[in-house]
Amino acid sequence: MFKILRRYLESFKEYIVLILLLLISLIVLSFNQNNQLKKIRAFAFGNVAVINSVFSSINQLFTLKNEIKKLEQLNAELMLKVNKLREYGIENQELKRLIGLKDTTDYPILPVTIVSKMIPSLPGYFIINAGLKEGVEKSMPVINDRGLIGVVTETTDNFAFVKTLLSPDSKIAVRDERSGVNGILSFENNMLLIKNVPTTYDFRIGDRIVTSLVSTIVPPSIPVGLVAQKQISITGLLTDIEVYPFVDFEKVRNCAVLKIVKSKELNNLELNLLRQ
Amino acid sequence: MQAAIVPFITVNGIYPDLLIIFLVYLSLRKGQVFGTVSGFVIGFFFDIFTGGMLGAAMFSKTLAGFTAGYFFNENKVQYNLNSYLFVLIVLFCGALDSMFYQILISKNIEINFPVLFFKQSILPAAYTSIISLIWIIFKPKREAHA
Repeated sequence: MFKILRRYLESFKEYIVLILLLLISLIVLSFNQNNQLKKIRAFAFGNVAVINSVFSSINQLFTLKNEIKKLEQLNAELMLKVNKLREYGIENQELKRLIGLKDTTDYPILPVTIVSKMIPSLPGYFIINAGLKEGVEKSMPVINDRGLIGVVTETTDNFAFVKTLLSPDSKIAVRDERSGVNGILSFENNMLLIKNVPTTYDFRIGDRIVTSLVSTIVPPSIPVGLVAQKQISITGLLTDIEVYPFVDFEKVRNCAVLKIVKSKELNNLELNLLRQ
Repeated sequence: MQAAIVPFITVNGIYPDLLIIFLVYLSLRKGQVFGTVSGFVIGFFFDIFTGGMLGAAMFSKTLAGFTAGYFFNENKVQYNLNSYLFVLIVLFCGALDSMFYQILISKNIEINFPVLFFKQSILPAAYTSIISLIWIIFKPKREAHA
């Protein structure tokens, strides 16, 4: 009996090993939400981020010349824009004073650099070189001069994970700036889509899409992209709106973290209202 | 190395998997069981060090190591490792690995199979096999015929 069993084990050992290891992998997969496991992953990711930042800085040595040239040009253009904006700012303050509005657009901004864009296990995620020590927290929006990049999802002492718009599990409430119609932007089939919008909703090709007032994660009116295409479903009742992002996710290197956690602010506000 | 260097040779979001080349090499050199266990171990460390979903690479790389082990032949070890067959095995195992990996890490229930198969499986595998082809062509002759 034992001999027969042994012979069978011997002849099928490859398959037995395979099935055993695949089963272990699947069991481990089901424990992914375990807090202990999350801690181990966060620790490991912190270490990898350090290695990534070293390689990133080596790579920067080679790309720095072009970068400086571009930045010099950008600097000159921005200087001209700043002059204009300064004038607008003064005018704006005067007008706001006239109608008694409070300026709500002054968010604290932390400039950061992306140290890794390719985390094979998490497509659409970036690692930035700022973490808890710099005051970066979960749910803080990340932007650049063109618009919204994503939201911080995980932090260690010196680094943070950013879930970009191009992450398959990213969902952001957005608004058509012209018509004011809201929708949920997600990333599917390699494109940014506002899915299942009734055809009667007013979205036009070329419209600017910005973050919505109803978003509990990101502040309103941050530019996201332009309406590129409308795909009407077979029934003709619903439309998928394809959005072309303002941010060039391939090239982006420097960005900024908006140091606000909108939901926290809203919660505090709601709590204060309840206390009154 | 996979997590640190590969980002710099990524083309349009498609990146080679250097670990698959190493895994196929191990499977063809040491056999199917060794390849399967190596796939499991490599996948485990990959999952740990990339901060992703633990178990996904363990699963896909175990499968890839097992598949590569099918081509193991004690009498043809050097031939398999130094011929273009190696590139083809890398292509096949790479595609298999990428496909299962993407399925496991995808949180989206509606999986688009043409995209999954072509962009996320075949293209990265082809890129990986090109890297392995470079290795085959420029491999030191003495090592190649050892």
